[in-house]
Amino acid sequence: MKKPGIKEGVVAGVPVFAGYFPIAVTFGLLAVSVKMTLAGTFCFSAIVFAGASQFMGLTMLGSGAGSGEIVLAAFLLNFRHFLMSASLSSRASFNKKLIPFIAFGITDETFSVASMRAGGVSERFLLGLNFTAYAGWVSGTVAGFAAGNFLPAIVQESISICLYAMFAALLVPAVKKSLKAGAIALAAGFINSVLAYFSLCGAGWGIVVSILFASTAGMILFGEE
Amino acid sequence: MEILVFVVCMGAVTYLPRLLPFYFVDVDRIPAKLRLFLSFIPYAALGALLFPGSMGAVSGKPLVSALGIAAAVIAAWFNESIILTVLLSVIATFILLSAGLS
Repeated sequence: MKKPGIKEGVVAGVPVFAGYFPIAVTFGLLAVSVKMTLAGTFCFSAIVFAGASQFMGLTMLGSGAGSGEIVLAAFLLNFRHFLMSASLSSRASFNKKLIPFIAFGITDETFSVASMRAGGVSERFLLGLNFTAYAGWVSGTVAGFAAGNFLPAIVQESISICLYAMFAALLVPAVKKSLKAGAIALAAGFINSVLAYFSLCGAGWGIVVSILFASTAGMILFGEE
Repeated sequence: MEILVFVVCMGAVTYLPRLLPFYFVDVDRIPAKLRLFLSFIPYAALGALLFPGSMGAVSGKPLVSALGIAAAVIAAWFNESIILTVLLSVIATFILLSAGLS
């Protein structure tokens, strides 16, 4: 079978571009609301290129968390990519020189598109796919930042709900499919609320501790099948 | 400058888990328990991010925040589009703010 090339990769990346652009616009808008500069916002999306971690980073910055806590929380959150890369690396043999570029663009969505693809993947296909997604992410971020500076105050205030609405939008469908996911999310939210109510630690550490406790509890309670 | 150091650190902790498995990890040899633990992290993170943080989503206006999130949850229950959910929640929040709620 002929291996898919860069063009097939770009075509497969178009829906991801379309999905990323508006989310990145949201990120740009939010960056304005926590008083980030254009350069900082651009670098954030261009260097990190990870939706969930970036949104979490902004949320935690907004709540006054320190950089160390945010970076550790992001590290935990990104551990799932470890599994995705491991899975992808077992599906084809890759040119060692291209691996650093392919690895940079692995996200939940590009991984899903690549994994679900019948007929296999190639390094050129992955490069096309990942960088189409990347283009959507970075351009959307800049567009959102620009828009954020022109909107009236009440609209900007309304937009501050965006981030949490997005977390809800990600979580609710997952809970509908798996009650375990819901139980773990509730447990983490409960632990974090208790920690916050009694001011037991900074907001950032609360998130880190809650993630570790709830995931461990899930592993112990749901580890039987 | 400080923000750049922060962003580069964020980039590093994002990039390394994406890169290293290509060199070191055999996916079939990750223990099942660890795999399960890792698969739960995103849900735990979402729960911890939403609570109690979302109650202060709109700064200084807990009622508007709670109702705005409730609107998002209801919208997400009935459709899978993230954009539509976010949009509906923003519109609900805008209406609540316009009505003078706090």
